[in-house]
Amino acid sequence: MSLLEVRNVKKVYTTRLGANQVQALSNVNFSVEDGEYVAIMGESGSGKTTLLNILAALDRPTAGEILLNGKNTVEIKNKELSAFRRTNLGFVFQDFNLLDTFSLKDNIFLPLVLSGEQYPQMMQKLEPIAKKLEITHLLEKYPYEVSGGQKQRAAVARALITQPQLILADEPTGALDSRSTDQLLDLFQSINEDGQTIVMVTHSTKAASRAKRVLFIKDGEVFHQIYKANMSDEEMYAKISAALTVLATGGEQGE
Amino acid sequence: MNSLFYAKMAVSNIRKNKKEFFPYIIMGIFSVMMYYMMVSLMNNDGIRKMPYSDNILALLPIGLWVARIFIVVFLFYINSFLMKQRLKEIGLYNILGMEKRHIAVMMFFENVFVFITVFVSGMILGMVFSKLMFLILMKMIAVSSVPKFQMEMTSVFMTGGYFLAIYFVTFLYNLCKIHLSNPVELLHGTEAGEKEPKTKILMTLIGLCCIGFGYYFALTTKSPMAAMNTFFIAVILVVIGTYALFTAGSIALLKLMRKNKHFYYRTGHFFSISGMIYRMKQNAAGLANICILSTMVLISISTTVSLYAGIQTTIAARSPKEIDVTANLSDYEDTAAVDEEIAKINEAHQVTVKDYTAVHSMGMITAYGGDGKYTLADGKGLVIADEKQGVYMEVISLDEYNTVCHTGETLKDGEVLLYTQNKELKGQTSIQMQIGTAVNDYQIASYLPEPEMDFGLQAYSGAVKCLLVVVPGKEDVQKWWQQALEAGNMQNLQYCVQYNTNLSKQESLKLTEDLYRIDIESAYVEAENSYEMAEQLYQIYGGLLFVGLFIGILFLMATALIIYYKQISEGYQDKKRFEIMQNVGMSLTEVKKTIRSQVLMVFFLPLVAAGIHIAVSFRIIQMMVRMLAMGETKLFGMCTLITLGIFCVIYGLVYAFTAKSYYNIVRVKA
Repeated sequence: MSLLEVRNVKKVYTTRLGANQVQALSNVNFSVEDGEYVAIMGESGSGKTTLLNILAALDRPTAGEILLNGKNTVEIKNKELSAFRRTNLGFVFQDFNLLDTFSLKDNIFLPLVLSGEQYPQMMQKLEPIAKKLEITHLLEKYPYEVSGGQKQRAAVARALITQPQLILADEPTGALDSRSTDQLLDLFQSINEDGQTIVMVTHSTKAASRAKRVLFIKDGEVFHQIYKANMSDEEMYAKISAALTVLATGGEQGE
Repeated sequence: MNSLFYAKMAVSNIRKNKKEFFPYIIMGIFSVMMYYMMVSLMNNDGIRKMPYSDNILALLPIGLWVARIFIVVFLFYINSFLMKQRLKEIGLYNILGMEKRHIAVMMFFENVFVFITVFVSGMILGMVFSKLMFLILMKMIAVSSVPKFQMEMTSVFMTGGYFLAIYFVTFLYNLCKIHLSNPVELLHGTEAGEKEPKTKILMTLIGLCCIGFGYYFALTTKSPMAAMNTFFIAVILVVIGTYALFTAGSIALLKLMRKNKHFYYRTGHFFSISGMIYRMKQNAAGLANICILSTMVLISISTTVSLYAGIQTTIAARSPKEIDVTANLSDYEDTAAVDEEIAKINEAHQVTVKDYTAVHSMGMITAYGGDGKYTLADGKGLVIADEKQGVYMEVISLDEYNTVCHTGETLKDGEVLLYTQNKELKGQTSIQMQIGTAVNDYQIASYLPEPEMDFGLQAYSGAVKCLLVVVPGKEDVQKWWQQALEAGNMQNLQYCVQYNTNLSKQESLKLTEDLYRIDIESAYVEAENSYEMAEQLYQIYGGLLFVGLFIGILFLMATALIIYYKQISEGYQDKKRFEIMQNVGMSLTEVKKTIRSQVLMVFFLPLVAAGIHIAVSFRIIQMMVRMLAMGETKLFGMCTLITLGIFCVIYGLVYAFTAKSYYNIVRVKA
């Protein structure tokens, strides 16, 4: 059984008065195996943010189901939703989403505090992660005192600390310079090699080329996918570029 | 066409920003209403023609001035909040191509519309309610014949002029603000990054010391005379302490709490402590202001309420009977002349005299030297060097005591009866009274229970300790009096006649006037009437209460609104914060809980601090109130509690409303 299964997911937005309907996702099907590293690509308006929000249980689909470890997240009650997301999912955002009023350490602890963990256990969990992400010396600093790359690493630490089944990353390199981007992608690869499943939404071909599999979304459907298998990063890059060109120019066959 | 366009834009701006404009307009309407009501009372001819209206006419302008200052400060303050919120919007207009002068025209129309709305609605409400207000005032000062209520154009113009000036100045202020800013800055307006505030240990310690000493003074003051001096010092210390503790102490305390890891890393504490550290940095001074102002308002309201509620007790104590004639004799033998005059006047007014009492007494301020030894303060006046030692002594003879108090006490020569609340004397068997060089020794026969008549002791009991000495005969009184005269102390022998009559209030007042005119060469005669006294007290205390309540209501309304605005503007700043927390896995229930505890703290911190200040100051203020009137501790306590209760209820309502609006702002809509 796959770790994550997305079956026939459909999302229709209705304007407030119900006059207009916009179909963001028409019929999405795919699955993610345990330990996989999947990138989702698509143009603006293709529905990838909607898909990620639905995967993150921030939004509910109009139809279809999402199974995480066999549990349908669509059926989870509102009350339990936050706790479910906290324990099973880790998030990395484009704009880091760190709180200015907390030190990096406290930012990382946030989900644990919400889960009611004790301080010594929290410290125990933090130590190896901080070491791996090389932010141990920055823990007492505040977000406005560190660089973008360091902020994103702290955000990754916050996502990892709950030992989630799945990490969802939304344009994680979007706000970083090229050096920090490389570092972050190395980091993602390294944690994936440790067995962490990652689903990443991105615009960046470079970022996607590091993933084990790339899904292309167009007009609310999975349009195409590429497995990396034994390809090098460069070969993968070329293949993705070609796919994107097809997507942008000749991919009108569905209409 | 152009100006029509700006006018339309102004209307739609107000409509779009109704969350910000609505409370501003409400506060304006409320201010206009209150202001108009006060002005119309002052311009009322009827009040001016009332008997004894001097008191109330002196109080109303004071109330009006306080209201003026309050209103201008609060409206200005709220306006600046409103502007802060709107900077982004205005910046956007600027970037989209509106020049600053266009924006000025737009804002001019906005201001005109706000002013018209506020003034018209405020005046309508003011006119409707000013009659009610007038009747309430009349009821409070217990006027027997209520003068006619009339509307006057002067009041309308006065109110209009005042508010026109305020709104014009705020408009100019807003223009300056926009003129001085650049569009990009405007667009980012409220989102400047915030650094964590520093801990100021020294200031915290100073604050603690100030509050500590202030409280110590308030709690340990022994006598009302001392209270007058220490109160002022205590107030200054507490004010300084409050500012220091709100600004520095709060942050120091929060950081201390953060240091305790086990305490800090709990869901409830984690968010409120970190949030409060920043919140206190921005709001500490404002909250300290609110704390001090609410303390003052609460104290003045509860004091005036208790003075007012104690009027009947005060009258009963000061003039227990309808007519009170006091003659200051310079010779015991003048008694007959005074009696004769009173009888003559009573006959002229066809008075049936009831409950007649007549007592000779000598009241003097003495210094207590311990061991039952008293010394008459020297002839240079009644200044008490050391208030701990000051004792007011009232000396009367035994047979007069027995007559007025309906008792059958007996005394041998050289014995006295004492009544005192002075604990230091308990256990003494003899007292000594030194007047000048003469020394009088007496054995204490027994201590009396509280006498039926108070012999004027109550009037002094608020200020100094009192002692009633019953001596065997009028010869003893005379002897002491002679000794005092020889020592150069102009001590008066008082002859006090009190009685009730069968007269109506009007006739009784006429009688008193005649009694007051008694003219005996060797005696100075004063006459008091309990009706007159009641009217005067109701005027003064009723007027005080009215003005106190008026200002209190205005203040309460304004504080609540200011906190509302602060919270709303913080809500917009916190929107991102709460969004992040929800993304990371905070549930809506937890968001609600966090908001509630945050808003609760900001709202009630100043009120709780004010409550503590009031509790500590209770004793010293009560001491001072007792010098004015016979306020009972229980009554004063009740009044304070009720005032505080009403304050809390209104505050609570605004709190609930604010927390809800705040929640609606920060909630992530799925």
